[in-house]
Amino acid sequence: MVATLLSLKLRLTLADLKRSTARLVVWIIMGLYALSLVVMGVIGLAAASMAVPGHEAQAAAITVVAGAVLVIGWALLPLVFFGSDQTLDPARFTQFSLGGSQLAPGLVLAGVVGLPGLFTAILALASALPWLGDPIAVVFGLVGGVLGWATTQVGCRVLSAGLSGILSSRKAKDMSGLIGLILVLLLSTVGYGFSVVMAIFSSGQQSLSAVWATLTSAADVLSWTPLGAPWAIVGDAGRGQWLMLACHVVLSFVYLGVGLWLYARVLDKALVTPPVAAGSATVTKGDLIARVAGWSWTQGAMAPVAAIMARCLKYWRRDPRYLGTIPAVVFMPLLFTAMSRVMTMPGLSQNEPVPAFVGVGMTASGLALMAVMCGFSLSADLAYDASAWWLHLAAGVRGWQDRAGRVFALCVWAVPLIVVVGIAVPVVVGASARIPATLGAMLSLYGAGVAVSSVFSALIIYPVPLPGESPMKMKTGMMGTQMLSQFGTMIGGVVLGLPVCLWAIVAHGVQGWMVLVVGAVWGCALAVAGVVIGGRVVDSRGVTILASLMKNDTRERG
Amino acid sequence: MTTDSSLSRGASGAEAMNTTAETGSAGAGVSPQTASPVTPTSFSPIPPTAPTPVGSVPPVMPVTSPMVAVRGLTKYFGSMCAVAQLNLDIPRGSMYGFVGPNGAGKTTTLSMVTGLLKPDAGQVWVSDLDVWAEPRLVKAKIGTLPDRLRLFDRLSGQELLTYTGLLRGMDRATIAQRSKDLLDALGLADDARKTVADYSAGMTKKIGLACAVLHAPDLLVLDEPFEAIDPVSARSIAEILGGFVSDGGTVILSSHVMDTVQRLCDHVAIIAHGQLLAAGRVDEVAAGVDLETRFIQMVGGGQVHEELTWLRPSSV
Repeated sequence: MVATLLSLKLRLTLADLKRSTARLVVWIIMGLYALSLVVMGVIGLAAASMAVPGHEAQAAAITVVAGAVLVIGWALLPLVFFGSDQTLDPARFTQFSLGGSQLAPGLVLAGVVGLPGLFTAILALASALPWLGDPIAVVFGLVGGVLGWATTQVGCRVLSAGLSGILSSRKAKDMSGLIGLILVLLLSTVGYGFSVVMAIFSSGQQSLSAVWATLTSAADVLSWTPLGAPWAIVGDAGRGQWLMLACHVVLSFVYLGVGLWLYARVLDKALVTPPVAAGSATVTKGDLIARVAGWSWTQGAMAPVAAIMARCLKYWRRDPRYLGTIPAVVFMPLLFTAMSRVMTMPGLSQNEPVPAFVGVGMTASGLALMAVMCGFSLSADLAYDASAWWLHLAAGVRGWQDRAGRVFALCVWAVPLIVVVGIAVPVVVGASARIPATLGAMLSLYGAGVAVSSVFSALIIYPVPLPGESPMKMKTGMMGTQMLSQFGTMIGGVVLGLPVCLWAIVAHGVQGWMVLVVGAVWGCALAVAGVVIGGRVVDSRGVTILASLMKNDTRERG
Repeated sequence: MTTDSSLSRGASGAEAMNTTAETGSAGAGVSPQTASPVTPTSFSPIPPTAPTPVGSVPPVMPVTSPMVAVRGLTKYFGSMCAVAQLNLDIPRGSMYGFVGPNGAGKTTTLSMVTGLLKPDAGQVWVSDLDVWAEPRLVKAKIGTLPDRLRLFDRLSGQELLTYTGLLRGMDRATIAQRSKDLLDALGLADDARKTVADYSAGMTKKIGLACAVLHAPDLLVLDEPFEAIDPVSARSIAEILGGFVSDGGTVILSSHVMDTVQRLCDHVAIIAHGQLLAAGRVDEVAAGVDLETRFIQMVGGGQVHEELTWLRPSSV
């Protein structure tokens, strides 16, 4: 069964890659990038072997803590990237009369067929390398590495299988995606907060040994938990603590066994309760589309625009894939402002205080980034429609109508947000006089982002989560193409909005108000140009666009 | 040719010029034969005289040109030929069944007729308009229900109808009236406010059908309209389609249920491996036997293989 599942996973992965050369290329590039990181990690670990003699306790502590972080990372993976790798989704085995205990080991081991699992395995084994000077420790290190890797996989599997049982209804899935996203943002702030604490900690002239003391006591605790037990083995061997070593080996096996047993139980349950699609049906209050189309400006050629705008507004409100982009956008200026505040805090650094203009620049670039990002959030709009877009093509909707409807819907929340943030942040940092110039620069950047997205989204349809899927679900080739397209949009947007931004930097007094007016007009002009050009692209590539949308769609179903 | 139709043709020809001028690239790739609305005499791109389709019968309505004319239609997916050199005439006012085994190229052909898929070769005329030269004019005449494509399913049934109508350029009063009629007729009135994502497969099919007929098109192209539909709804859909045809509308529907086709359709085309095996009036294609027997004769297969003799309950 283990061999069958491993070869199944391999075949599915290869078949998936064979489907598109572009994706294969992106996959190879990402793979090489990850591989280079892993190779660097391995070299680093090997090099560490020279520093280990005399510092065995520290090396052991670092191994345990780093290993525990790895296990936590894998356990959080399903929560954050919910359903990230469903190649071997247990739900697909419901038709076979298989027990959970038959499937569990194979499904866990199948993790090695796949880049993240494979690279984790390499790193786990490499955790033995710092002890190169002690062959016996290396052997135990390899054992610990295998156990540690298995722990990461079992932890990940147990959580994801458990969650997929709880989160089967569509509404719950919508929620989990959003919660996951907010969690990611929170975690990244926590990471940042941690570094700030560390900075304060070290600036308080605390000795390095205090840090080591914290680390070793943390490792001591962790080594008795499932998170750290397998990673403690190599350190025990290196220091000749054979009793501890025996304890940790036994504990690792016990934890793994319990994990596997738990996973088998979860599987047993999942295998006899196929996912139920429906919770309670969502009932709408009125006909939003008709209401928006009832506005006086929505006559004639504007009627399809209004309809598309209303539909997009509904999706912005209802669809977690759309909703998910909003916290990220709002978060950007908050993070940058907070960072600049902390950086310029007096007495934080032992050296000269960071000059004020660095903080101002940081805040400003946070705002600029937010404005472009707002525009960029259009770039997946068409791809999110998936094959449902056939309706636009079949109804003979003109390209500019398609583009304009989406832009209007975005503006409904993005423009007020930009105005509020563009006023609030300068007030908070004590630069109220700069409000008009800031707003002008942001509006021009937003218009530029909208323009570039309107054109690019019709040219590049990158794979996105399908309707009803978690916004955090990653698609093969999504990272690469999305990053490329995001990069292109950012560059394009910044270049187009740059003239107004440069002026905004030097503008003072009345000139600030001129920047506001010019920025708003320039942003509008860019957006209109983007709608027109993007519309032409949609008109001429309509059938090709539908074909690529269908390709993304059927990949998952077929 | 009646005065009426030539008048409407003149008008559509003029519109065609506007459209081509406006959309620019949309008209690119038009063959010289069809891209000649400049000379007033050649407004209507009349399809070339048809090479007699395989297994064909004489045209049923010789007075008017066919509603749909397909010539040399070919589509490859990679190296796989999905549709090969297909020629087909669909008479005006017919209920045309399109049957074939799984993977025969039914959906591919219908997508090319409705302008959702670009053929590699060949041409399609709908009401004498080249689908790929005047896409918008053609699409206004067609109502389509594609198979296996999504709907905007976070909208409610009512909203989806409104959305479709507005995209089609209909006015709101008409949309409201017609969508109410359709929701009642298809038994969806109670679920009109539920999101389409929460609909069952049959309900989704029905709301898709309602969207297809909303703008009162001349031609309905329905891919598997009876799949997952319960008998009661199937009856009411059949009645709606029958009424549409008797009022002069044309329906193409694909199915692999021969009974349905034999009962509902007056014409049928049998397609397998992307090639037309037979086309014509149902009774003529059936040739004395029932359609299903004829279909299996033409497509081949149907005998139970010796090797499956083990297929019996193993507990007996």
